[in-house]
Order: sequence, then structure tokens, then C-alpha cells
Amino acid sequence: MIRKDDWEVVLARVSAEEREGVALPPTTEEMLAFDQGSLSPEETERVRLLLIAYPELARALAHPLPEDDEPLPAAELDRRWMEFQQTLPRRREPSRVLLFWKASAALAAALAIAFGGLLWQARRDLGRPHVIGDERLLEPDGQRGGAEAALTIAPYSDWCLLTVPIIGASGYEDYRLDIHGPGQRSAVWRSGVLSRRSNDAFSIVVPRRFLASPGTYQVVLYGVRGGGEERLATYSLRVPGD
Amino acid sequence: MSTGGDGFEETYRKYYARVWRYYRSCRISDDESHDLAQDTFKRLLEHWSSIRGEDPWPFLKQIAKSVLLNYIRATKTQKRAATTVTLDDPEIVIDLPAPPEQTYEDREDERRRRELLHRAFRELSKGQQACLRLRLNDLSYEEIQKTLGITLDAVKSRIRDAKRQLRERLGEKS
Repeated sequence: MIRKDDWEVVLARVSAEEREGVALPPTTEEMLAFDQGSLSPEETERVRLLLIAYPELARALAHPLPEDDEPLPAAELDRRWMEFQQTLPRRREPSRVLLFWKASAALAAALAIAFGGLLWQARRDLGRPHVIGDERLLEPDGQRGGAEAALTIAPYSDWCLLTVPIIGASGYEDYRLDIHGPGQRSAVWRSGVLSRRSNDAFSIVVPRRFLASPGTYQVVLYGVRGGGEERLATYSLRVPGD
Repeated sequence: MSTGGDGFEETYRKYYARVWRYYRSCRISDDESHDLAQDTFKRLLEHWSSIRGEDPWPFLKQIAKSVLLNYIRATKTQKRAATTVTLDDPEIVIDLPAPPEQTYEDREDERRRRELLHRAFRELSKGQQACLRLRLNDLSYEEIQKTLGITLDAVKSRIRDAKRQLRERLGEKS
């Protein structure tokens, strides 16, 4: 008699086999275009095959949004609205004191800054990738050229997925990760002990708010053996300022 | 970014529950669903000036789907089988109870059963495999039809035939 957990194991095996043979999952833009029927026939077929290999995405893409309203309790909605407002960047109060003799110059400068800012914003918007999350494969500092060449995360993402590969350090029972903030010697976050997986990588989901301070962060990989730890590699990551 | 006096708050209050329920219905945890709903409205606010005067729901639907796909793509599939450590819960230690001890015979029986199922599944046609996989991942017949670009009758007959062939190959009664 086939049981539910037999199906789960077999489907997971089938998914793993098929994902070995295909590229990464389709991008969000590709999936939305597939859903709207705006891809070429070849692209449609390619995305379809990827969706079969990644049925979680197929399910999410096909799942409709509800069209009816079943409201939350008013108190909870109020709380959510307050939380939402707190996540938005605060506007600075403008200075109310402006000396008369500086008024003309200040006005001209303000206009220049405003127009310059609009131009800069427009240029930046044109080139801005429309992403919510950012996914980065880290490289050890020695292989990439040091912290000066540190990988930079997208400034508009709400979180990023950092993948830390284990390169040339296979002789350890377990591993551990630390994250150090800009200029900080002590870790701002430490993982528990992590077991090595078949793909030789660990992934860390980092909310963007965790990387609030601009500068260079360092992810440090330790090998754990016999109760001791050895620093194996450092992966630098630059967070740009606003 | 301002949210006052331009109808945004009204839109938020009108649609927040709907967006949150959408994420919940996609098997996202309650906390994550609220986070994703807030992200969705944050993105809506970024585009608010360009949609003023229009019905925001079509935009909101598109944004909500995009946020969900990004989330699943990154956390569930992108790095395939990588150990994922969520910074939100760095201290969580889950101490699961030990499963009941299996005998050697139980383990061998389980391994043989799964091997047989895997082989039987792989012997199905590609079309049957695709339909059955999507069905077992909880897609409705209509959703499978849309994903595979085939007729509803084709979806139903492939799944029916696949089940019949599996029963025959596994020696089970219908």
C-alpha cells in the first residue's frame, strides 16, 4: 500500500532529478508574462517546462486572489496600519529659520537641488531593477580581490538571500556562520552549528532592515571539529548608503 | 513617503485582509503572510501617484502575485536544498520527538515500495507525469489546464490514465 509519505519522498526525488537537468527557476517577470500569454511560443514552452520542474511556483502562479472581502477586526487592522506607517521612511522637518540676506541664494540652491534630484531620480528609476528580494552568491574574499571588490547588494530589495559556498574546506564535521557589521569586531549575528549538505552551500535569508547601516559587512565561515572552530573564509558584502 | 489624505489609507483598509488571506491560502505562515501583505502595500505606495483615480485592485493583484513569486522563488526553490538559516528566528531550536524505531524489515520494505513507485511513475508518459505532479501539488484541474496549455478533458484523462497505470504496475486494486 502506497502511503502519503511515500508520494512525498518520490515527488521530492523526481523534482530533484528534473531540477538537475534544467536551469534556475523562471524569473518572476517571465512567470507573469507567461501568465498573461505575452511570451513567444518558444519562451512559453521553456517557462512551462520550468514550472513543471518547480510545481510550487506553478501553484503560486495559478492560485487566484480572492475577490470577496472578509474584514479583519478593526483593532487588528488599526494595528497593521500603524505598523505599516512605521516602516515608511520619515520625512525630515524643514528648517523654519532662514536669514533674509541668504534667502535668494538659498532659493536658487534649493531649486537646483530639486531639479537635480528629480533628474537623478528619473535616471535612477530607469535603471532600477524591479525586485523585492535580492539573491547573491558570495565569493571568498581571497578569490574576488578583497573587500575593495566586495559584492554590493541591491539598494531597493526588502531582503536578500545570501548563499555561502563551502569551497575547499571539506574536512569538517560541521560549520558555523557569523555576520559582522561595518567596522565591528564582534558578530552581530551567529548561527548555530550547521551540517554540510550535498550542494556544499548554506543560504541565509537576511531582512534588509538587518543591514540598516551602510558599509561593508562580513560573513565568516567556521569549520567545527572536535569541539573547536577554525575560521575558514570571509565573504565581504557592501551595503550602499541611501 | 506620504500616506495621508490621498485615498491610500482607505485602499489599505479595504484590501489588506484580502491580500493577507491570499497569502494564507498559499500556505504561507500567518506572520509571513502579514509581512508579505505589508510589502505589497509598500510597493503599491511607491506607484500610488501613477494610479491615482483608477481602481487600485488590478494593480494590487499584480503586485501581490509578484511578491509571492519572488518569495517562493527565493526561499523555496532558488538555492535548492541549501540549508536555510532565517535571521528572524536565530535562537529557535526545534526539538522534535524521535520517530518510532523502524526494524530492518520495515526500512527495506519502505525502500522497495518507494523504488517501485518511483519506477512506475517514471514509466508514465511525460504528459501524465506533468499532470499528476501538478495535481499532487494541489493544483486544481483548471489550474493544471492553464499551466500546461491543454484542454480540461486532456487533464482529466491523463490523470485518470496515470492513476490506472500506477495501480496496475503497483499491483493495487482500484
